Amino acid sequence: MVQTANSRYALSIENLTVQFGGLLALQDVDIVVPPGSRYGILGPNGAGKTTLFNVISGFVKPTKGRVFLHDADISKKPPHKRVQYGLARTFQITTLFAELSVLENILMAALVQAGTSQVFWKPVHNDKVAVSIAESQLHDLGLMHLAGKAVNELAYGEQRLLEIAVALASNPSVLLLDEPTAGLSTAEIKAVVRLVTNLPKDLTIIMIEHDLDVIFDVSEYLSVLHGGQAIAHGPADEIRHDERVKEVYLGES
Amino acid sequence: MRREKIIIGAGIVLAVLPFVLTEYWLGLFTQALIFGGFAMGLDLLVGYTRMPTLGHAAFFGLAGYGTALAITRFGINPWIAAGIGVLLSGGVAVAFAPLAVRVRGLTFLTITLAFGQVTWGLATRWTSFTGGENGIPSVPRPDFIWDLNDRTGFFYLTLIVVIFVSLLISIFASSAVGMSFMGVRGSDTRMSALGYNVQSRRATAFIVAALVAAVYGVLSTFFNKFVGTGSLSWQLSAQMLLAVVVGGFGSLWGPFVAGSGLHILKTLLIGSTQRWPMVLGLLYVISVVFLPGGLSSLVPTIKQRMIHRSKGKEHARYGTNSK
Repeated sequence: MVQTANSRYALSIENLTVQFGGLLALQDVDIVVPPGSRYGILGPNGAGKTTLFNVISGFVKPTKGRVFLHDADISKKPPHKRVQYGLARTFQITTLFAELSVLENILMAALVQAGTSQVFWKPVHNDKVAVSIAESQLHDLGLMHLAGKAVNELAYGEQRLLEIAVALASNPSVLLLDEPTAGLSTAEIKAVVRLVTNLPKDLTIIMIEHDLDVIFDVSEYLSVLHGGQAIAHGPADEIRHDERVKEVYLGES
Repeated sequence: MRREKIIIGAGIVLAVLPFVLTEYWLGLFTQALIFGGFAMGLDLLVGYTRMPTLGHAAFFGLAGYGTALAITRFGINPWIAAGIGVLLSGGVAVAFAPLAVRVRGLTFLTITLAFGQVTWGLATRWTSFTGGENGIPSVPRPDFIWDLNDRTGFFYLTLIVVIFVSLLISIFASSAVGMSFMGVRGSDTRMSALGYNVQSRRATAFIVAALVAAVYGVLSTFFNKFVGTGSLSWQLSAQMLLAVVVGGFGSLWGPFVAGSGLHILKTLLIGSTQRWPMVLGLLYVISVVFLPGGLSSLVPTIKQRMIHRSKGKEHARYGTNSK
């Protein structure tokens, strides 16, 4: 994990433009995320939020612009290398390993952290270090009772929690959450919010979220995207009262 | 370790075959073990990593040709020649894998088929070196503690190799790398996001399956005392791919049984009919329609069993089969 103490920001995006053919998905976006903050990305459908996450995590190459994690320029790094810089993400559509157990799903991330993901000469369950990382992760999140279950036996709400747990097992300093409460019931949303608010304070969390109650509840800072442009940045309270934001986003709902 | 115990147990049971079978059947079973082992290795690529290939006979055949040529053309000791054969296949796999794993699905299937056809074409056309359609006859078997020119003797060598390689595959499959293959199959985006180099994992699966094919290609050449273009043919690749499908993806034992069974069936049917490809096609249709999970779905998988077991038992809560 990368030292965060001396960085001015956890994540910085400079002048980011992404063009898919004729479509300008993101246009000259600048975002600076302070270390240890809870940062929300708000915007209507098609505003470019998921594209932004895909650029940060390396799945989409930007047409222009740079991405810094702490002080390192990660713009040219492939997705799997960015994990070493302390980045982890969840996906909007659950992409867990359905045939594996809950513990094995977390283990997949824990092995990388334990440095034993290349081991081919002994059963993975005998890897004490990785298993204990995975177990303590489940324990911390109160999911230990699910450890032996197959993912396809889990309720959807439990899968969303596991999605976050897997990302956390990568021991990130910056965590990207892509709509963690999408499709959940009110009770399940509460469980996700509780989990996110109880995460360590030195972990920087950047979250895309459609549920306005959730995002104003959790975030300290917000950026608002609209039509691929960042139209407003600032503390959550200011954004709530920003006229342009009301117009493009809050006004609609 | 449950699966390893089963492999050793099955090996001990098979060791009685020379006492109960005639020479002909013992020979047939020796070959059946070789093709079963080949299919088991292919399961790591096709079943675990879900990379269907129509070219892995190339690595089986290349190793056979490498061995046979080293012995007959260069007078090299058969044991060293065997090593040369495996290294030849391994080397070609290492060179080809980075190209092949860049593509997926149907494109991957096509590129592996094309690659296999190149090796087949080379063996067929380069008559002065490879013997062309006639192949390379009179390949001597190596000297060993016991006589390998004896059917029983060769059967036991094959059985030992099969047990040893199967144990290695079994341990490999349950390792961190084996589990990462399943991860790549499930979601390669997620795997990259967790810090895995997906291309390198896919290449590893490709090379390991090629090495297993190579070992059995050498054994097959020694058994037949001959290597021919059939060992490089796409038909053999297809038969092995079918063995994995019929046996059940990712179960290891299923493809082994199916690979062995298909060879026995082929040999018995070829005496009475020339329509082996048709039988193969029918079998494929029947297995996909009536048994989509393959042979292995007839027995609850180890995974389901261990998850089931772990519900009640605290010590097995990892869903482990290793205790």
